[in-house]
Order: sequence, then structure tokens, then C-alpha cells
Amino acid sequence: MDFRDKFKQLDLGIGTSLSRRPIFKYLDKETGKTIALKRIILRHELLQALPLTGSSNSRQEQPIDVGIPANTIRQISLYRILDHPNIASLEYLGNDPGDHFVRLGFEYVGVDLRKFQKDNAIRSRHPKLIKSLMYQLLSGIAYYHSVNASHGNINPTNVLISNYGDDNNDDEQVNLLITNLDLCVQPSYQAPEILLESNRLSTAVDMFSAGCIFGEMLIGKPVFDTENELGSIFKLLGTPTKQTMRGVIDLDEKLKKYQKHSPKDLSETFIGVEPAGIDLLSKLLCLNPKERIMASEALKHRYFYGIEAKKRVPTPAAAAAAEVGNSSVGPFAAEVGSSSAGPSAAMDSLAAGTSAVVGSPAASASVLVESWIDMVSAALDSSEN
Amino acid sequence: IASFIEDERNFVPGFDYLARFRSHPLDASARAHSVAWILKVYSYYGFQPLTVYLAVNYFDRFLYSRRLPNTGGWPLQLLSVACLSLAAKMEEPLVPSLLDLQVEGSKYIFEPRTIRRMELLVLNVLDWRLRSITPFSFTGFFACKLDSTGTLTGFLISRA
Repeated sequence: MDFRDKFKQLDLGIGTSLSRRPIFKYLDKETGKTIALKRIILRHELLQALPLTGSSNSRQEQPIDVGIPANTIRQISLYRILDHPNIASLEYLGNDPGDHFVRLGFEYVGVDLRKFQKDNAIRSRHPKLIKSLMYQLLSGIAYYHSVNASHGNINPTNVLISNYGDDNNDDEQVNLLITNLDLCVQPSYQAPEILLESNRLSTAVDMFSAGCIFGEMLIGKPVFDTENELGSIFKLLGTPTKQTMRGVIDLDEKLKKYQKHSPKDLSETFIGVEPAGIDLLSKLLCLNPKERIMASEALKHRYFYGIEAKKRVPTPAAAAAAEVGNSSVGPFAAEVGSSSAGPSAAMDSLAAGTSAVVGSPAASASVLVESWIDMVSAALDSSEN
Repeated sequence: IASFIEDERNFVPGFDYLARFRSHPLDASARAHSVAWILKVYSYYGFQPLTVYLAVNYFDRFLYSRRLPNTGGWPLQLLSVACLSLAAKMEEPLVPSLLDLQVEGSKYIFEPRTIRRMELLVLNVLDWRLRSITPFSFTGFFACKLDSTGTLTGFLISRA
């Protein structure tokens, strides 16, 4: 089905993506669910035309004739299997008729963390609420890591808060979803090893970002500066030395321009936070990725004693998603049934035509191959409708 | 592990795939030919075994849900190239370009542009579900069971 028929654009957009395009929310006309749409460009020519900023996904240089970028394939096939109460599910996946880009529709409920904090300045700093939200955030990250993946871009715009109701609502009910919309964010929530351009990245990068978010929840404003990211990180956590960041990167060259700082006592910056919280924060904001706490360990940290992993709150979106999940047990079976009728007949007729052409000059053969792919694609579209 | 078993079902062709080879629409020898080619490229580039397994997995799943015109070798060859390219992109740290991938006596050479479109077609047919549950997912689990300390796990997996 055509995208425009299925979805209705909702509002003025929720931000600007890394490729300088606004991202909009859409309403699914059938199910009433809201999604946020992100586009992944497939054509390499187009990718190069865009000014790419710090997205970790775009760093890898690729030769021109590799087909669909490997990162895109890995990303989307990962989204396809993610299934966790604290991770926004992929609700829609389709490519445009010209095959220039893929549209990804992610479940979108509530508001992002930044807006939540702005609109609920007092509520959002309840220690109990922070604890519940952090637990959910780390659960989602732990799930990412359990399937051998890392999120790579944890920041307040990728964290959705829903079901918070009014001030009297139970803190335990508030729901958190991790999504991945590639929105431009200031300041950075990236780990120091990314900013130092280490080429050995790991799941630990997500943990540092989680630490930044934790700190931001505790003091109500971003922990690190916009302009001088590394400088402000070092100011709080100390400038790394060969001992504190051993083996990660060759430091001498890159650290020249930074002032030397010694680590500060976090409890002086984060006043009034319980000691267990300070301890967890220091383990998340550990400079050395190798010593940084892992998500599964962090969930067992004593800061979270008494918190239970919870089931997804049955928002309308989640309930509908569950239904879809059940009905799609045999996606291939369904497809085969429909394709055997109409499209395959079309293919047979095409087959009769192609047999003669294979031996003909290469140029016209490749045109024919193209037209054949068109045909099969068309068959695919028609079987979906 | 239970979820592996549950999920594996979504990543294999249906049970009647074999039966359809016996009846005529799918040609078993053509498939063997394609798989042999994939294996040749695998040894040429020293890919991981998982890459090959995935490529054949995509190949079979595509054939299970789509029929290709049964004439000439080129549709199957194009499918092989696209599947191998996708699998390599999923698993290999270094992926040869689409032209370089077509080595080891492939009869037809396709333009990168064409393969790109075929890749997209395969992705759409497979619903972008490329992280298949394979026997490799299980060996890791069983190796851990045999050797709980984890020292020999890597060795066991490599031997399996």
C-alpha cells in the first residue's frame, strides 16, 4: 500500500535529523497508532551529497559499487528482531517507488525525555521516578547488548516517556521506551572513546550515554558542555592518563590541547543523591570503556534494590503490536499463497520472453534483467495489497 | 535458548520446500549449482562459515516464497550473488565490491546497479529478517553447557 494512503502526518515535526531533514510523527489510519518516521538513504550517490555529521553509522567509507550499504542492512535487520518492553518497535518498513530510501516507522508514545523534563520540572526529579526510569533504560540497553548489538546513539531525544499522567500518578507506572531516530542533539552524549576517535568501539559506549542521562535526570540539566565536550568530561572525571585509559587509544597526541584535571568527587556535583546512586553514576561515567560497568551488571547494582523488571504497560500501541505479532506467525506461508495466483503467471510469461534474450549482447541483457526485477517487484507489491 | 527454537521457525523455508524440489517447479540441480558457486567464492575470499550458511538460507527462503522463471541460469545466478552479498555484509568485516564478488567462473556478470536492485528485492521478500537463527547460534549455547568455565568455548565452537 502506498505510504500516503496508510499514514497521516501529524504535527510540525519533532526535530531535525542528522541529514538535516525534519522528522515527523504520523498516524496510522487503520490502527490509530503513532509512529515517528526515519528515512535511510540507499543510494550511495545521495549519501555522499549530504553533509554527514557525527553519526557513528556513517563513518565507514564505502566504495561506490557495494550495493545496499552494509550498515543499513545490519541496522534494519536488527530492528526487525528487537522485541523488548523498553524498546520502541518497528511498526512500518517500506521503500519508496524509486528505491532511493527506506522508510522506517518507529512506535512513538508520550514525549521525549527532554520535553518531559521541561514540562515536569519538579516531578522529573523525584528520586523514585529517576530510579524507575534508569532501570528501564538499562533494561533496554541490556537487551540490545544481549543480541550482540549496541545502540550507539542513546540521548534524551531517543528516550520516550509515556503514561506519566498527573503529579499524583504512581511513579512505577511511568513507561520508558528507547527509540533510534537519528535526531540532531546538543550537547553530545557520546563516550570519550568516540570523541577521541578510537576505532575500537564496544557496547560500553551506550553505558556512558546512560550515565550522561542519569546525571542529567539527577541535576535537571545536561552534565557536559555543548561546545567543549571532551574538555567538560575531563573537568569532571579527570583527564585520562595511561593508567586510566590503558590500551584504548594512543593518548599523548590527542590530549595535548586539553588542560590537565584531576577527577572530582561526584557527590559534590550531584548534591543530595544517595550514595548508591553516586556509585552507579561513577561506574557508568567511567572513562575507560573496558572498566565501565556492563548493562546486565548495572541492573544488579544496589541502587536498584527493590525494583522489579516490569511488563510493558498495555498502551493501545503495545496491545495492537502484540496482536500483529501473533497473527504474523507464518509470514512466508501467507505470501506464498497469494503469489502463486497472480504474479507467478506474469513471471511465466516473462520467462518465455527471457529465454531468447540471454544469448544476446550484454547491454540489452542487462536492460532486460532490470525490467525483470521491476516485474518481480511489482508482483511483490501486488501480493501485499 | 527456548526463544531460539521458537524463532528458528521464522527463518527456515517451509516444510514442503523439499517436496517442491521433487515436483518440478524448483530445480534441485540448479540449486546445487548455485550453492557450489557460493562455496567457491567462500573459499576464494576466506569468508566465515556462517556467511555461507546465511547466503544459502536467504537463497532458499527466497525461492520458497517466490518462483523464478525456470529458463537459463541467470536469474538464479543473480539471486546467488545478491544473497551472498547480503550475507557477507551481515557477517564479514571486509566485503568485496559487487564486481569483485563475481569470481570463480560465474557465467554472467551483472552490473552493481542490477545487483543492488536484486538485493533490495530479496530484502523485501525476506521482510528484512536477515538475522537468522542458525545452527551456529546453538553451538555457542551447547559449548557453554559443556564447558562452564568458558576457557575452551571458542575452541569448541571453531571445531563444531
